[in-house]
This record gives sequence, C-alpha cells and structure tokens, in this order.
Amino acid sequence: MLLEVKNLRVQFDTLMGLSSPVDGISFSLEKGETLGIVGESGCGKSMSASAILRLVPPPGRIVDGEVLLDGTDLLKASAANMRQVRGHYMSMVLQDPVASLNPVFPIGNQVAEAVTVSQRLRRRSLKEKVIELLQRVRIPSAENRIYEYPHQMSGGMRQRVAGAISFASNDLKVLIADEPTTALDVTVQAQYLDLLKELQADVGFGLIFISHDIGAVAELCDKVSVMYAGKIVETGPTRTIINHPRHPYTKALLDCLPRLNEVKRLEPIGGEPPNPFAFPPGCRFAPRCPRATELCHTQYPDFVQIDENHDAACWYANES
Amino acid sequence: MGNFILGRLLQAVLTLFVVSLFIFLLVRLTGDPKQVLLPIEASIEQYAQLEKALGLDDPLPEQYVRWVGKMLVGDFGTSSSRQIAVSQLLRERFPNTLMLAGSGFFLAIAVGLPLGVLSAAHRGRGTDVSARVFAILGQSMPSFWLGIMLLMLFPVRLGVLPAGGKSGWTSIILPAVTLGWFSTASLLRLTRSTMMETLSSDYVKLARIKGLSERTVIWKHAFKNAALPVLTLASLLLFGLITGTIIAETVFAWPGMGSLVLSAVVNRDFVVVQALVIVISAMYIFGNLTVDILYAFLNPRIRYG
Amino acid sequence: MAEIAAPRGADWVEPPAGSPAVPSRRWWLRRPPIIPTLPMIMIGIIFFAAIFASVIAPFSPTKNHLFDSFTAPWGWEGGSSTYILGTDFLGRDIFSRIIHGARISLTIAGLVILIGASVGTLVGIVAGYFGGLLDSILMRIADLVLGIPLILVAIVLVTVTGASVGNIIFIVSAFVWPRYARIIRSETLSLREQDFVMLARVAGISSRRIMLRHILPNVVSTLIVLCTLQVGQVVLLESALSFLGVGIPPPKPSWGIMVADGRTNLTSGWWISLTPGLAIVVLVVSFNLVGDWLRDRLDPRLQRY
Repeated sequence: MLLEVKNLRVQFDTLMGLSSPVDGISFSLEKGETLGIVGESGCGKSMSASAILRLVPPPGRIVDGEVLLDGTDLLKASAANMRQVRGHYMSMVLQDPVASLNPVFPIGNQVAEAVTVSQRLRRRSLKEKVIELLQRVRIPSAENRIYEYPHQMSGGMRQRVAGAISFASNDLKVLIADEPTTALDVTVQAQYLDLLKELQADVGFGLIFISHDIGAVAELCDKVSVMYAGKIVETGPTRTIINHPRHPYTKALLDCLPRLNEVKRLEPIGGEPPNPFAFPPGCRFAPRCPRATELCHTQYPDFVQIDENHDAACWYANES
Repeated sequence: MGNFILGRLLQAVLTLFVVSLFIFLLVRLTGDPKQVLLPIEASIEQYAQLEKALGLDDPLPEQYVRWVGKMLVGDFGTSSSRQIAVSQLLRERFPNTLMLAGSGFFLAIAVGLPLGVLSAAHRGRGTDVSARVFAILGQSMPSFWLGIMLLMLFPVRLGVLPAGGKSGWTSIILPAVTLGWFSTASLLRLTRSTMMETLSSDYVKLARIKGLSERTVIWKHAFKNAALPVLTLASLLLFGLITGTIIAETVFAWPGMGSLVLSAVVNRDFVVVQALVIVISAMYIFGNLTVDILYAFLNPRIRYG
Repeated sequence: MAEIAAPRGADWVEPPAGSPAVPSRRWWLRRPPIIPTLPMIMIGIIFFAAIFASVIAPFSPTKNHLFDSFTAPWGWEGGSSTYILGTDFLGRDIFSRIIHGARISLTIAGLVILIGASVGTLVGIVAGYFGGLLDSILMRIADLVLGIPLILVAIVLVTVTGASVGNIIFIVSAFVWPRYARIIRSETLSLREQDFVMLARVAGISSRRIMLRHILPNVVSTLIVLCTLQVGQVVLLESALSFLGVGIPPPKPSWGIMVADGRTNLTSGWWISLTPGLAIVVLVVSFNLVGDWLRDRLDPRLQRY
C-alpha cells in the first residue's frame, strides 16, 4: 500500500466553538491509482488534502489518526522530515492558479526553488531542468517565459506553472489535486485533465483528485470516496458508485447531474449542509434525507459492506 | 515608469508651491506684513528698510517670485531675535534633526518590522499577545507625554541619561525613543496584519508544499509580499517623524530645526518660522516622493504594468 | 410519504453523552467579551464626565488656589482629599481640569470629524460617481492636502493669527477630509458598477437622488468605522498641537496644555503631567479598540486604515 489514511481528524478551536471539518476519515491509495474525493464545498475535502501534507492552517490541528506513506506515519515525523517528504515524495496542486504563484518573483525562480529542494543542480542544468519542467506541462516557448511574472500570464498558463512546481521532484509518489480545474474555462479544463493523466502514466504516482465535478471524477478516477460533513459516507470503484450508489447522499449528488442520454428533471438536494459547529448526533445527512428514520437521527451508522470494495455508511444501505 | 515618476515629481513641486503660496499669502493678506515680519520693538528705520527690501508696493506675483527666488539661492533673510542669517542657523541645526529623525526611523524599522513578522508567525502565542498590547498602547500614547514620563523616570528619578541638550551619544537615546515609539507601534501593527494575510495565501501554501524551510517561507515568500503594503505606511511614518521631531526636540531641548521653529514662534521671529516651515515641508514632500518611487520600483505589477 | 420522518430543524439542544463535545453556547453562560465591553464603558464614562462636567467637577477648572499650589494627589505625602489628583503650579484642581478637558477634547474631535467626514464623503461620492476629469481634479487636491505637513501649517497660522479654537478646528479638519474622500471614493467606484445603481440609472433617476438614496446608505458602515477610528487620531493631534502651544489657547483646560504645564515642574510636581496624559491614553485606546472591533464586524476590507 502506497498511502494509507486512517481515522484522520482535524479540529478547529475558534471563538465560535470547536469544529471538526475532517472527522475521522480513512482511505488508501495504490501506486499509479487514482482516488477521487467528491462532495459539496465545505464538506472537508480540501481540508483533508491539507491535513495529509500536514498543512492545516491555524487555529486548526490534526488531533487524531495516521497518515502512512509506504508504512511510515507522517503525523509522527519531525518538521524537517516532513519538509523532505513534501519536497520529494508528496505534492499538491492548488485550486486557484492566480493565487498560488507568488506575485513578486518571476515564475522561473519559483519553479527552480521547487527543484532545488529535491535535487542539487548547477546553475546551467538547473535552468535546463526548469525549462524542461515547463515544457512538460506544455508551456510554449518556455525558455523565454521563465523571466515573466505571474500577472503577465493567463490563468491556464499559471495553472500549468503551478503544476510544474508540483511535479518538480524526480521521485514523486503521491500527488493531490485540489479542485485543479474549478477556476479554468471549460475548454482548458479538458486539456488540463489530459495532461494530468499523461503525467501520471509517465511517472506512475498515486493521484488523489478532489472535486465536486462528478463528470471529471468519472473520467479520471479508479475509485471514489464521497464526503459529507467531515465524514466519508460511501466509497467504491468509480463505475459502481456512479451506476449503483447506495448512500442517499451519493444518489442525491448524482441526481443533480445532467445526463446526455436521458431526459430527466434535475433534482436539487433540499436543505443545507449542517453547521460545522453543531453536527447532528446521528447520521449527518439525516436532516436532508428523504428516507431518514428515528434511528438515523439518533445514531451514526457504521460502514456497511456491499461488495468487496464497496462500502456505504447508511442504516439502509442494503435495502436498495 | 518614466511617466509615473514625472507625474509624481510634478505633484511634489505643486505641493511645495501651494505650501509656499499659503505662507506668502497668509502674511500679505492678514494685515501688515511688516508687523508680522518685524519684532514689536523694531525701529522706524527697520520698518523702512524692510519695506524697501520686500518691495511691498509691487504687485503680489512679482513679490512672490522675488521671495521664492531668494530662497532658491539660499537666502532666507535674517533672524530678528538672533541677528544672524537664517541660512547659518539652518546649517547648524539641520544635521542634528537629521540625526534624530534617522535614529527614530532606524528604531522603528529595527524593532517594529521583525516584531510584526514574529507576531504574525507565532499568532495567538505569548510573543504575539505582548506585541499587540505594545502596538495598541504605542499608537494611543501621545509622544509628548511619553517623552515627559521618560524624562521624569530616567534623569529626574534614577539620575541616568542626560535630561536634555546634545552632549555625547547618550543624549540621543531618550529623544529617539520618544520619536520612534509611535512609528514602531504602527509599523508593527501593519506588518502583522499584512503578514497574516500573506501567510494564509495560496502561494505561501504552495511554497510549503515545495518543502521549503519555514524561514524561507516566512522571510522570502510571505515577507516580500507583505513589505509592499508596509511601504505605503512609510509616508505615514514620515508624517509621524516630522511631527515627532518637533515634539521630541521641544521636550528634550534637542538643538534641531523643530525646537528652533517653536522658539521662533514664541519670539515671534517670523522670518525663521517661514524659512523652517518651507525647508521641513520640502523634506517631507520629497521624502514622500522617494517612498512612492521606491514602491513603484519594487512592485513588478507597476514596473512592467 | 407519511411514514418518512420530516427532516428536523435545529432542535438538537443537547448532544447525547459520548458524542464529540460541543461547548455550550448559551449566552448567559458566556462571559461578555472584554473587547468591546470595557472600552465602551470607558467611552461612556468619559462622555458622561464631559456632558456633566460642571456638575461633577468639584472646582472651576480655571480657578487658582495659590496657597494650595503643588498639592500632591490624595494618598501621597502632602496630598489631601480636597484635591483628589492634586493641584498644579497655580493651585488649580487637576481632577476638575481633566473633566473639563474631556469636554474640550470631545467637542473638538466631534466638530472636526463632522466637518471632515461631511466634506470628505461629499467629495468622495461625487468623484467616484462622476469619474473622469472631475474625479482626477478632486483626488489630486486630496493627495496634495495629504502631502502638506499639517503641524507646520498650524505653526504658521498661529504665528500670524494667534491661537484660537477656530484655527485648530479648521486645520485638523483640513487634514482629515482627504482620508474620507479617498476611501469613500473607492467604495463608490465599486457601488457604481452594481446592478441596483445601474437599474436606477436606466430608470432615469437623477444623479443626485442616486447618490443620496442608493450610494450614501451603502457607505454608512464604512463611515461609522472610519469616524470611530479617527476620534483617537484627532484627539492625539489636537493635544499635540496644544502641547506645542499652537492649539487651544490657555487657560482653557486642554489635556495637551496640562501635560505641558507639568513639564516645567518635573521635580516639584510629577503628578501634573501624569494624569492628563493617562486620560488621553485611556480615551484614545478605548476609541481605537472599539473602532478596530467595529471594522472587523462591519467592514473587514478597511484593514489598512
């Protein structure tokens, strides 16, 4: 197993009270595999990504769990070791390409910085390596653009540069992509996803793809975990989840999607996600669930195994 | 970039023009300039002499041009209370003021900036809390009162450090602290708030994802971005330093331009007052100009915009 | 559908035992936050003292008790309960003078901010709404005024015309309005592009009415924050000018003048400067804290001002 996350929990102690945006999630990832994490915004999927890299912003803290990379628990590693892990083995692509590049340094400089963390290179070969990385993410005439500042480039180009920074290490094992296409135009989105697939085939890293776009997830991922209010509610192979969802939340999410081959009314999910400072005591989806019973409102359901790889946290997962 | 500098330069000259015009007209229009410019006990000959020297019968624009022309070549007239050329006085006092203002500025940069960065980096902890208390108090404390309290504590009660004047290097400590206190506090506060902003930005997150050391993340990636808005405060600092030098010099009898201008006010020595006001204003205005140009130079969005 | 339980609302008052702890959020169990409660109480006390100054103060602020001059505060050697905070070199009761000083400081701050905010808001809205040449001219003027060192203008004005309350209000307001103008202008610029203003323009509503009925109400929260934050600054400026002798003319009990009075008598009466200065600190800290709190609440984008 390349990466194994067990019972990861992040807590925020704020003026408004305690909240756990990530509340005991577990999943695993094999080499070369792609895991999709889907859910509404605010469900904790981005925070999970930050937690895996131990980059939870204050006042948040990781209070429980294990993150095992090749069997080593990253949550127990020293800060210096963790930096090594980030520089060499694990990386992340952030949502907003405009904001993820530092406006006061030329882009070449920023890519070079990422390279030097994992590799010792001389000046000339460093420059070659930077240009090579930029070419790899399909930046035209890369050698001329290394002196440009972020504000001189388009959004799609910046996203690629940010990508180049994330792929800079030679021994990348896990890449987390946190809604990498949200801020891009639809046409550029598809190109970017292709690029991601290609790079994964080349390097063979495990990819965690975080998105609320089920279409993109279906195209890219081998398996999917659905998150709701800090918990994973259903997990399984992509095809199974899309064709035979068992958790009512997954069903509701899929019902929101327009499909080309059927004429159907789109069903929005009624109600709102729960207040993170006061999660309901039972199933967190119960207040919005059309099938919720007294049991759902009072007790949190355990995972029910439906298939070999398919689990759903619902009291009625087996009654389709 | 060239256009920007030219525009700002024109604006600075215009501001100085307005200040000089204000002084000029104030004296000419609010009564008899001879009474303002000469001490009460002046003789009739002195009146006649001044009237001839100023050409008070000439049209106002002509008088203004002559007045400015003289100042441009360094002729600021003669002090009525001290009977020496104002330019001579300026030569004596200017270095002292520069030295005091420089020390105050240095103090603000050397203490306010790093404390602000540390406060943001260790947010919520002891360093941060005490830095914030200092910032709030520092910004709310009138510097003249602080100066007097320092005076009462050190020279009067404890008998250490000189009470005033300029004698040896220890005499600059208290005036410099009085002067730099407010600026230090403002700088700390602004640095902290802009650092907090940049520290929570995506590019700092990406820098951490790269595996850079915390030191590089804070001082290179976060601080360089935070420094730009901090620089805009420099003009406010300059304002605080100008007001502050006048106050600190008065409290500690520091022989600079600030204490000179106030003693001239008391002696109704208007020739000295107007000369100093013009000179200090020019320093302030061109200081601001320098800050703006520096800002533009450091900000790639303006430099290549 | 009847057997499906209706989604329940917010009626989970008590989480059952064993579930992750959710701290109690009942308001009566929560301590009121120190900020802004404490500074608000302080401001209340100062306002109360200012309004009922003549009732609260045991003595007239300008009455000399020459036989009782340099009486130490109550509780110190030589002090008496007659003069709680002691007397100054003319035997005037410091406590009474501080109370009357609050009235002067608040009146001046109030008038200055009223004038400055009105002029600044008018200029800001007009410049932002109409844009173009008018905008450029108005903003150049604002920049120009901000580029003039205020304290020097005050010095010149007072040397020529003498110290008066009118002068200080004029000078400080002249310094205050450009800040309002700049900020309100940028608010107006973004409001102008919004749909409801567009709609009003399409509907043919007059510009004056749009500015009054659609833009002004939307900048009110910004104005409240700015005004609160400015009180401290104006009080500091006024007291500094008064301290230097170019602000409020004595014998009016301005806090700045009271601090200055103590400066010449540091060895014989340490208390003369101490308490008026503390009064300034308390007033300014309180307004700054409440202003910061309001800003975080109403208008977090104002961070830098």
